[in-house]
Amino acid sequence: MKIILKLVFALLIVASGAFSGYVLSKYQQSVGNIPKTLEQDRPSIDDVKRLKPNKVEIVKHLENIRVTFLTKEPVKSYLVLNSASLPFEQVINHRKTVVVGVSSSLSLDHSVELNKDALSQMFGDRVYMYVLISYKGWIIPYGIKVDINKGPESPFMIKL
Amino acid sequence: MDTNNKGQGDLQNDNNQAPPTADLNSTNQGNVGLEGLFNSKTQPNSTVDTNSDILPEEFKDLAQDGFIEASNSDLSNPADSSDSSSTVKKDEEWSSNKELSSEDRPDPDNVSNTTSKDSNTGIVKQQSEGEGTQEVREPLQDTTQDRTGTETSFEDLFGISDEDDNNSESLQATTLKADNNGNVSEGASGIAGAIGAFLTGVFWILVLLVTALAFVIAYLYGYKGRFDVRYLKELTQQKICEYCVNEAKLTSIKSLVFKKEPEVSPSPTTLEENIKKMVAEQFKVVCKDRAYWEISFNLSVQSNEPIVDLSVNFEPALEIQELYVDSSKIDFSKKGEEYTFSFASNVTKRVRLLVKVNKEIKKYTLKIKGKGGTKESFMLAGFPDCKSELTVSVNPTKGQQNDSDTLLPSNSVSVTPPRTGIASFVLPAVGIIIVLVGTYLYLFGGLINLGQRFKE
Repeated sequence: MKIILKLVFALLIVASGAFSGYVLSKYQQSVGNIPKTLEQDRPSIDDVKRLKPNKVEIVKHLENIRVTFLTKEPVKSYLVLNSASLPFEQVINHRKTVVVGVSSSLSLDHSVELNKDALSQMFGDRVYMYVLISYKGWIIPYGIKVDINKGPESPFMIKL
Repeated sequence: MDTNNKGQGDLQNDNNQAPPTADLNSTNQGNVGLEGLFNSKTQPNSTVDTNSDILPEEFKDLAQDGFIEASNSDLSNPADSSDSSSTVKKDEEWSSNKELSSEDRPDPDNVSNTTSKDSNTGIVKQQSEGEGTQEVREPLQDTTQDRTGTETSFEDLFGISDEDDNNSESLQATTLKADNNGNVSEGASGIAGAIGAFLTGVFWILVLLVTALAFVIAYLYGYKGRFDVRYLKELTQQKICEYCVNEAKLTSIKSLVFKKEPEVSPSPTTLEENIKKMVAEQFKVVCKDRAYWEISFNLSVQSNEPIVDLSVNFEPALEIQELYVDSSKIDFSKKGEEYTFSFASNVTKRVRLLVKVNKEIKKYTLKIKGKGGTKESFMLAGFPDCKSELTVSVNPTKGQQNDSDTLLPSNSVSVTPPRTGIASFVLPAVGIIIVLVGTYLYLFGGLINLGQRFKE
């Protein structure tokens, strides 16, 4: 009898904990002061490893530069282009940065052709590029050299 | 004991012929003491000698019929009672604790009493001249005296204090057992008690941990409406991609660059011409509470651009608190009453708008348009008070709409009313009652257990 009472009481404690958590969250919402939410779906380091593009190839094709790469999961992808070899944090805010859509829908094979003349007019004879993977509303950048914890250390280089 | 008192043993009855009525079951033959009067003991094997002359005639008949089973020898041989514990009977004249026959009743002035006390057992033996020995048990005291006269406390001798006496559990927890050689060892009940206490502690620690986990899960569930392990990762500071950026930021950069230098854009289209078709359907309004509503709908935009900028606004104006696209929170910019955000084209996504409502206004018009105004559509919806049943009419308004196929709103809107009124009070009340009842049951069970221990 005593053990049963103990178990019942323990269950009540757990239930009251869950109940108070639920009520607290609802109360915070009800008073109108919506607290800063956790960033939903922000990629984890495991996601960064898993979605890393492989077989990145940059080849000249007639008047264009073709950039291709593969991913293990179907994702959308972009390229970030700039004339300077800048860290990604600076590239994303740089006024001369150009973002090019590679795969506007979910895909495993990613390919885009860039106009060689337009690129040389814009960036000169060298273009630096980061590959961007879109994952649940977030952008994961990759360069030719990547520190998984700190981000891409150096971008890909396209010699026109 | 030298006494001729027989039968009832009335000290005042000199002829000793009183019928053995109430004292037939007494252990005190001849002498009737307090124990015999108030706590009589039976002697089942005793019989009555019906041939004895001691019994009156009327009792002889009863004895022959088997109604009386008291031994005549017990009644007639008071000498046997000399070894029995002496009893005390109140005498009117003496008021003494002695038992004496009327014949041997001494002069009270000549009675000499000898009292001795066993210091170990606390038994006081009181002996009167010609009376035998009377033992009076005195309660044990905490102090005793050794032979040197030094007062030694009971605690010093036995290591048990008054507090220990009061703590029955501590005494019960340690059971000492002596083997045949007289060696005293601690019993297994002490180890079992220790293990039980340890397991009890572990149990309650686990309960607390589970409670904390339940609190976190319930909080996140209540706040987000769903639970994801990823939330726990963030809470526990597990490694997440710190340098990853929100897609909305990226698209804003892109549009800025394309605007300034459209000639280098790989896509020849411009924002003014990029939206070909826009479909909004499956509207749903959820009243989060009386102040906030969540308006959600499926939106798809066909465009040459992978990402387009859309603007939404309400008439009358509503303040948009948060904006989600497929459960991802999206940053938006506010310009006047218009809220602009980036949206992926050619894919149907669920858009959720968390808006702060004005209770006095019952109907709103939601306007969704592509940037530049070339494609613009209207959706008129009626938003009732959260308390009442929703009656929403969704009517596409032509307005500046160039293409009638631009917006295809659904004709039905479902609304989940919030928990208001009684429900908002019932749930907390039920929770509190459950906790109180549980506490009461637990304490009541503890009291029952405590009572049983006292009984034992």
